[in-house]
Amino acid sequence: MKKPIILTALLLSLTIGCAGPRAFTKGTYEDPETIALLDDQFNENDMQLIAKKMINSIIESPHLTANGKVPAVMLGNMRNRTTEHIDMVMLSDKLKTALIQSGKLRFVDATNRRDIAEEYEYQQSGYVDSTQAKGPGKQTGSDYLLTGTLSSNIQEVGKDKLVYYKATFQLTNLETSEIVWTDEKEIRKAYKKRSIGL
Amino acid sequence: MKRILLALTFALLVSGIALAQTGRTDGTEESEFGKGGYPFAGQDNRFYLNTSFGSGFFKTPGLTDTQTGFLYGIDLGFEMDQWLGVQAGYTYLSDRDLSIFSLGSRFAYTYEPFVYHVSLSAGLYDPKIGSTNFGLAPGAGVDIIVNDRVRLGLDYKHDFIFTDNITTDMDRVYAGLKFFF
Repeated sequence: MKKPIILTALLLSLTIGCAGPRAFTKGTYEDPETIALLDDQFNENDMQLIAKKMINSIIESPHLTANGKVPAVMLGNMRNRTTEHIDMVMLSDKLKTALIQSGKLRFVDATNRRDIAEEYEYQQSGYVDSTQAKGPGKQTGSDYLLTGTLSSNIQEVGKDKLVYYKATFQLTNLETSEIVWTDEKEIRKAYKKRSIGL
Repeated sequence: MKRILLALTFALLVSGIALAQTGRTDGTEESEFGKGGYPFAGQDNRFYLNTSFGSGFFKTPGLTDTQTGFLYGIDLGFEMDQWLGVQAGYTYLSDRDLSIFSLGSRFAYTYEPFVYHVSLSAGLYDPKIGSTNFGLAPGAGVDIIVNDRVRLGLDYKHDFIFTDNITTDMDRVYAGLKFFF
């Protein structure tokens, strides 16, 4: 009668002994577009949902293709008005990449202007073949400015928590300062707190 | 009964390989509603079916010998959280022709790939010959997580069977397959 008890105890102690330190090991690559809400923070799925809504909305907007020309857009200020640290550059890059690939919009590179200006100076300095040297005066002028805001609201009572995000983006005509396109994406996530942290 | 349980275990093992469907962000607008959780780990609020095969060891007070018998059974449980579950089960010991109907709770601690658990159940012990008795059975065991839906387990239970005059002790050791759905 004691043998099965000893055997089970031995097996349990062996498995505990083999456990080792609690490091994150043996990972696997997963599809980044699979929904996985591991915690209650802003995550890549939220970013993907916002980007998908905005991209489809911009592409389908009739104002941008009215005169048959592919408009040039400059990325403006992307404001994070939530209480979390959210990388808004990641979101704006995702929008920019998808819109350029769609062929519906052109983007001017506003973030690298200083590097471009320095490169103009170098190429005009005489070191570069004059037939190939680039210089100022030929950059594309932006037609529109793309800006966005991300806000949040949290409701928490007892074991229940609701996290709400609202992302609002707009395209502003640089000549007239008219907002020619705007759209918003609302996300609400519901969470429950575990009873005991086991 | 044994063959049915074996066939059921095999069917559960084969079907357990398939993973549950999860939500995606590249679908149509609002298709993400109702989706969530964490598909790469265990889930809460799930039913499970546990088939078990093992042996029972009897020690009746006043007797020096220990009898053993082949054991097989099936449990239906509900895991409300990763650490807490309830289950109802039926176990049959062939040597004593004894049927055990049990109901109890289970407390688990997950340390992947193992799940360590302790349980306490109350049961009715119904032999073919003799009267039905009440008993309690504390137990412990360890499961190995095969995938999100399938676990392989080794369990031990000690039964205290209360009769009018004496309490019979019984030890059960069994291995089983747990399938979540």
